[in-house]
This record gives sequence, C-alpha cells and structure tokens, in this order.
Amino acid sequence: MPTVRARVGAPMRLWCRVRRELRPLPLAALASLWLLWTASAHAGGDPRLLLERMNQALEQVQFEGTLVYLHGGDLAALRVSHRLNNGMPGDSLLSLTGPVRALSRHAQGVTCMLPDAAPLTVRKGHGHSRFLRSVPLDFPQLRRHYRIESLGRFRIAGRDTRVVGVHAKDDYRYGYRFYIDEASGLPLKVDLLTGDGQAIQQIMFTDIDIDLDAAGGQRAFAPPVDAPSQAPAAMTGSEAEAPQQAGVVATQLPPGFRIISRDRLVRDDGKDIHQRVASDGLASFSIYVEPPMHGALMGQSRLGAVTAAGGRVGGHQVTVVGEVPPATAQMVLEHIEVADSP
Amino acid sequence: MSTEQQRQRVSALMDGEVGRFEAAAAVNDLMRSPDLAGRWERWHVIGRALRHEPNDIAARETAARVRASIDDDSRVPAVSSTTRAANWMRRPVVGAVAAGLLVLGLAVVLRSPLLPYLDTPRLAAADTAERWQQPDPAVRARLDRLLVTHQEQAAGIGRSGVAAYAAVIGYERRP
Repeated sequence: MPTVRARVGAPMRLWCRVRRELRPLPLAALASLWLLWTASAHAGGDPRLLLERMNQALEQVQFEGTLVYLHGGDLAALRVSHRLNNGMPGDSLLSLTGPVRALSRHAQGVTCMLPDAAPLTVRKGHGHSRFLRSVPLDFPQLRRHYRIESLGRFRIAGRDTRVVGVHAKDDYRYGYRFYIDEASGLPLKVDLLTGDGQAIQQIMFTDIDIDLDAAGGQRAFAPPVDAPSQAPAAMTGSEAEAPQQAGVVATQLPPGFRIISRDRLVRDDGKDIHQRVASDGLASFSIYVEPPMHGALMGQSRLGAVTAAGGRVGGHQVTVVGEVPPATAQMVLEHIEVADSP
Repeated sequence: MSTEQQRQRVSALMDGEVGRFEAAAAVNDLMRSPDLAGRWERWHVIGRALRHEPNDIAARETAARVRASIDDDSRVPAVSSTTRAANWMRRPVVGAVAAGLLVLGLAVVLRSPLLPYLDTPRLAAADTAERWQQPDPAVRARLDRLLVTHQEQAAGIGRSGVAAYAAVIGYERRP
C-alpha cells in the first residue's frame, strides 16, 4: 500500500508544484501579449499610429532624395532635401525636369524661384504655422469626414511601406492614400483621391537617403490617444463665433471645416491682406481678403490639385486657395461677407 | 559676393549635374546671393530662348528683388526703381558687373533670330499650358504667393515639409 500511495502521491505533488510555479503565468502571458500587440501596432498594424508617426516624421527625420510628381498626364521629377539645423527644419526642392524651379524653406520663411517670375519670399510671421505642425491628430474629428483603413504593405523606392487609406466620405474634400516607410515613418508615396477612389495626383520617392541617426522623431514618438487633441493656440473656433472681430465672415463653410487661424499680412504696396485658414483636420484652404489690385484672380484656376477661386465681394478682392475640389472653393467664395474695413 | 565654388555649384545645378547632398546647398546659395540669382536668371533666359521656349522679360529683375528681399527683414519689400538704382550705386563693382552681364545677356537674346519666340503671339499660344492656366504673369505670381503663404500657415498631416510644396515646384508648363 505504501508503494501505491507513493505512486499516487508523486504525480499529485508534481501537479501541485507545477500549479505553484505556473501561478504567475497568466499575468506574464497577458503582459507579453500586450507588449506584442503594442509593438505590432507601432510597427504598422494600426493606421492611427501610422498616421501619427508619419505626421511627426515629416518634420523630424532628415532625408534627401528624388521624388516624382504626377498630375493628370504630366510628370515631373524633383530633388528634395529635409535637414534639421539646431532643431529648425529646412527644406529645399529643385526641379529636375523642365524649366528650373527651386524652393528653400528656412528659419525666416520660404523663398521660391519660378520661371518667368521674380523670386517669391514669404516670411515666417509670428503666427501659427509652427504650432500647426506636428500637432496630435484629432481622430474623432477626422472619422466624421474620412474613413481610415489599413491597406496592407507595398514596396516604394526599394523600401517596405505600410499603406493607409484615408477616404473622403463626401465630395467637399479629397481622400488620401499614404505609403508610410516602416523604418522611418516617412510617407514615400502620397496619392490624392477623388470620391470614387481615382488618384488625381501622386507624389512618390524613387530613391531616398534617410538619416535615421538624426531622427529625433523616432525617440520622440508618442502614440495618440483616441480623444480630441489639445487644440493648438490657433484653433479659435468657427467664424460665426467671432464675427465682430473678424470683419471677414464665412457665413457657411463646407461640413467639417472650421477656421483655425486668422492673420493679417502686409502687401508690397503696404495694404493689408486678411487671411483666414480653414481646415477639417486634414484638408485646408485659405481665404484672402484685400483691396483690389493688378493681378487679382477673377474666376477659377488650378495648379495640379490646388484650386483657387477669386472674385469681388463688397469692393474687396477675395481669393480662396487650397488643395480642395473646385466646387468647395467656389462654395466658400460665395459665402464670404466682408465688412467695410475687414 | 559669391565664391567661385558657389558659382560652379549653381552652374552644375542649372545643368542638372549637382552631386548628392549638393543640391540643397546650391539652392540655398542661390536664394541668398543676388549675384548668383542674377547669373541664374541670365542663364535661364538664354537657355529658354535657345530651346525656343517663351520668356516673359517683364516679370524678371531677379537679382534686384533677391537683394531687396535680403536687405529688408521686416516684410516682403516693394523696391522702387530709385531705391533699386541707389542700391546698385552703393555697390559699384557688383552693380557694374551684374548690370553689364544682364545687358549683354538680354542683348544677345533680343537681337538674335530667336526674337520671334519672345513675341506676344507666341506667349498667347502657350497660355493654356501656363501655370494656373493664367496668361497674365501678375496673376500667376499673385496666386503662387497666396499658395506658398497658405502652405506655410496650414501644413497638416502628410502635407508639411516637402510634400506641401511639391505642387508649387513640381508643376511645369507643358512644352
């Protein structure tokens, strides 16, 4: 009998010992699973994380490369560079096809050289542009007007990318397809999409050198929270909330768009230009109101996917400019009211 | 005044022969030096004329505008012709050399058999392919300025940095 008890007891003792040893296992397993999930999400699974990471990488990762710009049947090649100098980003773009065109973005602003035109310099004001860069994305707001989905993997410029589709839910805005580099977070290809999913503009790197060692964004990246982002200082609410201060009132904006900044610029002849920037969190346009002058746009005009619409409102020249469909720009133009002294 | 190395780099830029990591430096040199901007403009005018592409002489004066842009830090300048002349006089060597080259370059272009390609009918024929589909260079320049101002103010997701400006620089007039 003792022999039998010993035979029965040994497995029981072994089982009890195993249970004691394995008691912390569920916790460890859960922790491991969570780590695995967050790692995979960071690496590419979650389109929100990919977009947020891309948003930061564009400013914080240094790179130089060649990209092609395709609109309609026209194709152009550009040499581009993005460098950080004491934390301040600097960009340069140079056309490699057709007439020489160049642009330099530096600490003081943007300088641009175009054919048949004098050099164009836009100085960085004390306004909002720096605040508007790399602000956390407001996904609840975006989801009201865009459908965001992961579209798998694709190879661009010899590098592995994750593809994220951001599809417009109406015709007031374009959709986007971002091909985001897995290693750096940079968008190596960006398609601008119509409502039926047709690409009307494509920007794609054909080769790129990425300086990951200097990529502050890799270290600074923080996953987003699924809540409205902290509104930047420029988010001053809808135009209708402050019509008295504005002088320029958009009586109706396309759904989802709101005025995010107001600024006053000075024209070459000393006259004021009042600028309002409206955005839906992704697409944006500016409304400019100024005294009439030579060179004012009357009607509609396009540069690639950028639309401009201009006309006279109450003796003022009003011009709407942005990467939005022509109907959207026209709608905005037709709903601008200007006080005598905007 | 630009150095010989800068001039060579901008020349290579013009010919599309800049080495890796040199393009950004060349563009920056170009943006900051009226002398280089003047050279760039003259080479460009001559190159376009040689390729039988239309030129808009009235919209030029690159070097003077770059200088004015550099001189005036407070706002985008409107340089009067008298101020511009005074600036030239204050820098006699730069002024004489650049003005001489500019006159020579324009004389070569305007007196050559390529003159018909600078005529108004030729410009009018290319109107539909112009930037912004606008025949008036003043309207094109105005819209370019408004667009760059907008991009600088409203960069957003996927639209900041080079991506925001790809259309500004990437769009080119069809031949």
